Amino acid sequence: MITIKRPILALIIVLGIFGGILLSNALGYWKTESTKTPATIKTGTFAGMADPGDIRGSYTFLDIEKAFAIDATILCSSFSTATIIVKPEDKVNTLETLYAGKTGTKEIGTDSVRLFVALSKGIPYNPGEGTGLPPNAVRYLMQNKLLTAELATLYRVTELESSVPSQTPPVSSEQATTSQTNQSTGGTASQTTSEHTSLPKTVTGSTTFADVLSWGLTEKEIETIIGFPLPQKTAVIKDAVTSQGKSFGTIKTALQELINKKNQ
Amino acid sequence: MAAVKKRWWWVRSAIQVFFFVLVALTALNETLNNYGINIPFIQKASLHALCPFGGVVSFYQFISNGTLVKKVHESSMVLFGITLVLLVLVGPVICGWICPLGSIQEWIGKIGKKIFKKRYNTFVPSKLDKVLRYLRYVVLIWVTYMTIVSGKLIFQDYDPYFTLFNFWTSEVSLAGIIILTLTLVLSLFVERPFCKYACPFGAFQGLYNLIRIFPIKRNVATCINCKACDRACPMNIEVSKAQSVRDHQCISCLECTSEVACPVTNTVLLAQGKFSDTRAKGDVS
Repeated sequence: MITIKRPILALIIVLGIFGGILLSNALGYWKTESTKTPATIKTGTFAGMADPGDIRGSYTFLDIEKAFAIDATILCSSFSTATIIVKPEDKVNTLETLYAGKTGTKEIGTDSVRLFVALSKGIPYNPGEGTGLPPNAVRYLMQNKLLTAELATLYRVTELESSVPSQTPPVSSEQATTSQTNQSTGGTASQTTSEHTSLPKTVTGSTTFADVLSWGLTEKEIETIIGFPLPQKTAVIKDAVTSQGKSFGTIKTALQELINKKNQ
Repeated sequence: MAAVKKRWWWVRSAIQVFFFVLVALTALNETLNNYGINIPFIQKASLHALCPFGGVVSFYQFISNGTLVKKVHESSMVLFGITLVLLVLVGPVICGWICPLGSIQEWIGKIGKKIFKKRYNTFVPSKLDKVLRYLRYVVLIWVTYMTIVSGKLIFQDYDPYFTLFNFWTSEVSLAGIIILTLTLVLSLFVERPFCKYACPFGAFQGLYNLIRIFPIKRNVATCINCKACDRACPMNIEVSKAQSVRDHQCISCLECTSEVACPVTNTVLLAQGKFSDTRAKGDVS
């Protein structure tokens, strides 16, 4: 008969746990914090792009800027009001505390940021029931033709209207994309296209390949202009072309001409 | 009958205190990190990162699309793997030796024992108790299903373990506070009430009692039927009626063994194989 005495069992437990942790650490599996990199969408039109639905509450607005190429200042001003100031280094889940008790039946939190990012990038996303957006966020999305009036009514948190600062958030031409958002409640989809002259689909230093794809260019057309195979769709065009030793100015002009031509 | 010297009775208590303090400091460190303070020698980790149950509820999502449920980290999967190895080998030692929620229930139970003496841990009628013991499997199925469907750690809002180490944060819910309070108060009357009736991770681990390599074994030949093992068992298992304890509620605490409660040497053991000892009953030498 093989017996395990009390001190031996204690040793098995302690060595098993800490030995296992040390081994997994050595193999690179021991991770107690998220990498702040959302999972990518596996299938469909947006395959390869970062999934807004995977944004975690522990991400900061700077993490989201990095992952989705949306300026953190736009995110922060969209989620700020006259009395609530959100900073780029704040965690997304702090919104839940900041807006607690101020949003009526709707909630502003991590899911609101997921929704905002999805709308900004034109990626379908089903928000949770009751997910709302602050007035600045709604205004920004509407100005950029990323949100229909019908959806704006659905998401707007009217209780916050009185505390909206007079200055609206900065408008980024980067974000003028096609928006297609499925609603969890009705299952309908809305699609709006930018036509505003002050919000053109303009290629700038922070435009990603995903942006120009959503503006109507095909992968082949982009590859012809940049002269090398399309890298990851979330990559910033300027970074990709300069790393290949090419002039961003020339490529930017060529891409812009084609975008303008397609959107005439 | 001579008294048997119990040399290693304190080992489990020491390990329980160690892990309780470790988890408490890790949770506190997580809060302090927000103010730029870090407790020396304590790894930056959320409570979820150190809970193997995250691995259980994330398992389906991990297998189906390679991702983990929100708030669960790779470390939870590692701990889940370690737990599985321990479960197959020696049963639910995580419950009996490590789990801080189990430990705090046990410590409060010591006060209950002093108050109620022999009546302690006998308040729930036997018939009702037997039925309630299966409630935790309902909780396990519900938690697992809801986590798979929602992709979120649905149990967090009800988890007394999470609440215990996060009660100072805004992350805890009212339901969590109520369940924790109820658990701690009930611990004065019943030993480990949450473990017995509601813990989904305990339910998962309990199933391994049916197949573990090293079960608790009782030597019928030397047993004097004093029932000291029954009285010592925090989970009310009748060890004195079994030759090999395969009860789904055993937590491998070894309180019933000849090293702690049983007055006869080598009679109740954590062992594999058959007893060769056929001494006369009550022989303690």
